[in-house]
Amino acid sequence: MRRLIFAPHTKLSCFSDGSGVAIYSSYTGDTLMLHSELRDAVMLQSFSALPDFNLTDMQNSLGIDAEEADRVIQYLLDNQLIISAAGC
Amino acid sequence: MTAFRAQQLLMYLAEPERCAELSLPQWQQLIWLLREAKLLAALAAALERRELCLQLPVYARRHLRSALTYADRQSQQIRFECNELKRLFDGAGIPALYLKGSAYVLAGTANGRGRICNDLDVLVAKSQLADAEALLQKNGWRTDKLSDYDERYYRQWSHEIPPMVQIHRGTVLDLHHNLYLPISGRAADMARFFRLTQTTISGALVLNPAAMVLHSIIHLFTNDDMQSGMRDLWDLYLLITQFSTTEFWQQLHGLAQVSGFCNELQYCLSALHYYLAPALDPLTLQQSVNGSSNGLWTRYIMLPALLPSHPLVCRWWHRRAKQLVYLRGHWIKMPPWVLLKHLTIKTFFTARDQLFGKYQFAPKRPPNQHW
Amino acid sequence: MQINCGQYRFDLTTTDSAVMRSVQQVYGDALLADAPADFAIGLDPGLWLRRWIKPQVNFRCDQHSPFKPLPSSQAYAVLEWGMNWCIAAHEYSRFLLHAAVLVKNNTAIICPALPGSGKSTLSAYLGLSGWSVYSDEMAVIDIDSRQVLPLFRPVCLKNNSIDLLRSWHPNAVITPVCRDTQKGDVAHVKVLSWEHYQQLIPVPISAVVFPKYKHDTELVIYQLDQLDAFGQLSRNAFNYNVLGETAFDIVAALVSNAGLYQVEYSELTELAQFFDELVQP
Repeated sequence: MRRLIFAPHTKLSCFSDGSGVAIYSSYTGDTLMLHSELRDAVMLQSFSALPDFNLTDMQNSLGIDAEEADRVIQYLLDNQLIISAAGC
Repeated sequence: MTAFRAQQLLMYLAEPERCAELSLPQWQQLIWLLREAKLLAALAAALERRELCLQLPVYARRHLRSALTYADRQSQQIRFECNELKRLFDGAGIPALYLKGSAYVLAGTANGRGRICNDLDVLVAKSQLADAEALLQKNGWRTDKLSDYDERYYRQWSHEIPPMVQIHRGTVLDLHHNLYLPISGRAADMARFFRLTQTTISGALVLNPAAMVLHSIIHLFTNDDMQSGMRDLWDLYLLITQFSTTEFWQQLHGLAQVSGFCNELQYCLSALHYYLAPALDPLTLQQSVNGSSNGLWTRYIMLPALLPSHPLVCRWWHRRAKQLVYLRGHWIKMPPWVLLKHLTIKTFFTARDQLFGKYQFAPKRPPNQHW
Repeated sequence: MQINCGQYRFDLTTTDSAVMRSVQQVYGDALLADAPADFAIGLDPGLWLRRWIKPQVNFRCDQHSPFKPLPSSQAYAVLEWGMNWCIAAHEYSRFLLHAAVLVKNNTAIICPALPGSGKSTLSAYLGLSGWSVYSDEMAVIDIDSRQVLPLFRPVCLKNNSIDLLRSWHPNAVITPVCRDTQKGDVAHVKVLSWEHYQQLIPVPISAVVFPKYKHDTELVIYQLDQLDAFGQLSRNAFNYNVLGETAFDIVAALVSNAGLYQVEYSELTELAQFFDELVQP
């Protein structure tokens, strides 16, 4: 499964109530918000601290199904917020 | 209220140490003036380069910081848009040349920081213009509906196509195929200019120093609209100061000669001498002494027309100079038969607008409807 | 004449004596120390033909006119909106939220300006009953301290709330009503004296409340999640996009540290009670 990382020009803010993550891109100047179904702050925190992640990690951290996670990943890729981890 | 001496205006940017002596009422005038001239962020950048900001009054610091923050954000946007455009054009095999503000930001020239741009300027070969336009249209850039007259103006006479707007971000793009209007009979030989290019670190194509400066000169001194005249002259000062070597000057003169813009180069040297003489490097100073024109047109029309349209510096004779430059700008662009038609149509609309108020025709809304 | 709004000063050029009277009413007690003005503004009569047929007023910020000319009877409202425009279009050294700011016990509650929130009526009501209104339109937030700064401005009342306020506070200072503006009938009420304004200091924001006026309802309070509040606040900022990462950090800190509520109300007294609880020391 493809390993991904947040692009170097992004900045993440995980909300302490577990409601989700806001991502700022200093490349596009845009902000994007990821909603978490799990509302688990610890889970979000550890997700954002992962050196890299795959579809399953995203599913587990946000509490979404595979199809949804795939859509989110595609959207993040299109908006250049995440990129493939080096060497993959 | 003592207004600024018009001739001194750019010296505050060239020698920002001078700002230390400004009183608060003078700061107020300088900030209003430079804001109007789109040069406030440029002053902020100049002060920051010399680490002079902290000594300034809070009033000045706040306005300078605001202006520079805005300009920096704009540079970020330009880098982003140009990267996206580059990907698009590279994918289609269309070489694209970035001009003016975009080029300064991408090439990181001395004037890149603190420069306010209105739009992105990109040039492609005429033979690839249609492909480039279609490619942009397919990728989120659209053209606003123009009046038939304006549409014809762009398509038949101009060196650029009608401005395109990015549908999500509202960025405006001017797609050029020449540096100057073909209808003038003085269009540049673009095959030559495409050879006078360099590649920036980010991989974008921009003109080399001499060609970049000559284009900036053509743009300023053939323009009918002098609204950003001071800003463009400041660009030229920073670029020339950065590039000034014997070899650069030889190239610039050579290029002006073969492309037929020697008069414009002379205006530029005159303007640098008039507004910035004490701040010129020895080589440029010598050029400006030898190359300046002392003609009546230069002294009484071209030089005053560069001033910002602000009542603090702009007197009635400056306004008159601006009007004359406007007419000349049209005159040199077009053969007389076209000029006559062009001016009639423009003047007709102006008369109509003056009578009823232009907003009756082009409604302009406040940016926030909640107010 | 100069208008002193505390954080901002305007150098106004106008010949409209009604406007000058209103300016005097609202800003007349402010001290005009010898300080530079931030913006040169003007209210010009429209074009020459228009001076006799349906006279108009044109707001000018230095050499630019951001709005289309409006009937001259709306001149004072145009002036207040124009002053907002000047700040919103040029201020990038502070973070600007489109929100009302209500302060008590040196603690601020901000109410983002969503349609139907009734925040202006609320601001005027609280402003005349013991709260300090730092602004009814624009929260000016210092980038470094992240505290909200006071503005010396009136509250903009609309339609029915004008008479309502008059009935609550017959002595309130209210400018003459401008009829049929794009927001309906509009009048401005003074909620701060200069003496009071001078006591005000920058304060931290302890709560973000999104009020929603609903006819005949009990007070209902919902806790808002941080992600929703983040979205709403960033969308309601005037300069979020220009400030970029700086604004992202400020909003992220704000939603992490402040109470976040959505409130449905019909009675201002009940809402005021809730607000009082929020700022208990």
